[in-house]
Amino acid sequence: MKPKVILYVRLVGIACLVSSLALWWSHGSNIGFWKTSVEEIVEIPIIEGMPELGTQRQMIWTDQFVCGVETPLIGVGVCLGLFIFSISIKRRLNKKKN
Amino acid sequence: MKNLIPFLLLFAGASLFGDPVAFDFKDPKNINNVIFQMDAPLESINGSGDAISGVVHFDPENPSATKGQINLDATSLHVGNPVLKEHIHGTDWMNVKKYPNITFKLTKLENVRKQGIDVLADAKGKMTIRNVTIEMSAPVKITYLKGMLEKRNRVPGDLLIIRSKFSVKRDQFNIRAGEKLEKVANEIELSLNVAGAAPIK
Repeated sequence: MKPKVILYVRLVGIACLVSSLALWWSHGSNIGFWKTSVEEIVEIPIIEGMPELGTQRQMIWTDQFVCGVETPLIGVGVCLGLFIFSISIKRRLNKKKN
Repeated sequence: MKNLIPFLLLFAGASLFGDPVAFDFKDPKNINNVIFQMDAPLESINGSGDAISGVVHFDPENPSATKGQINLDATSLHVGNPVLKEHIHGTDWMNVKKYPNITFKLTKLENVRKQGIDVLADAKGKMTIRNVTIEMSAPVKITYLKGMLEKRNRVPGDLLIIRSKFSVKRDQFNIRAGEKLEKVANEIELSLNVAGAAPIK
């Protein structure tokens, strides 16, 4: 029964790593940090309905969470932590056996 | 009578050029903004500042005599990452509490040429960031739209659009010179897009 716990801990670690990578990838795999607002540059006509008179460029911010590079790093950290934890469980079990 | 002639000539000259019109750049539509971009090896940071004010005196008959000042409230600087925004506003970087204003004082336009309805020129002036002032020149595109304020703001008057793309270096303004260059580039690209209004009084 107990060796199964080690397997489950390791599987949870791998799941954390994979899900963090998947989340980061789904948000565009930004190498920057987490964002809580996203920019969009729009060209707004100086006078509505008269684009021939030129436009003004504006940066519009929308509240949105975008994963940064911290997400996979946390995933790697949690995965490593769980692997180290599983090794320590294994050692304790081996000591008890001996 | 002879003494009057120089005065009459002076008056005629002045009326030929006309008086420069004062354009207020505090936009009630809140579209005026400055976009900034910093490309560092590790990260590209995009942001904007939208609390713009200032007055520019522009004479369509004599654009080279354009003078004025554009101000940006540094507390309006915004980036997508909240921690980064806090750092930018903080004492180590822009110190917006102590230095809340970024200003460009326009002293004259040089190399003025017309391109359709636009006036292209090099704006000479003084840029002040964090209380450090340096002389600089920036290419500008100015569009003067006579009588068009009514169509934009429902108020009779003229419109003046100023667009410019230029860059400043943070070490020139003593913003952590030579530090954190891998994350925050030294060169900051700025894009100014502002509309000024001169309502008829």
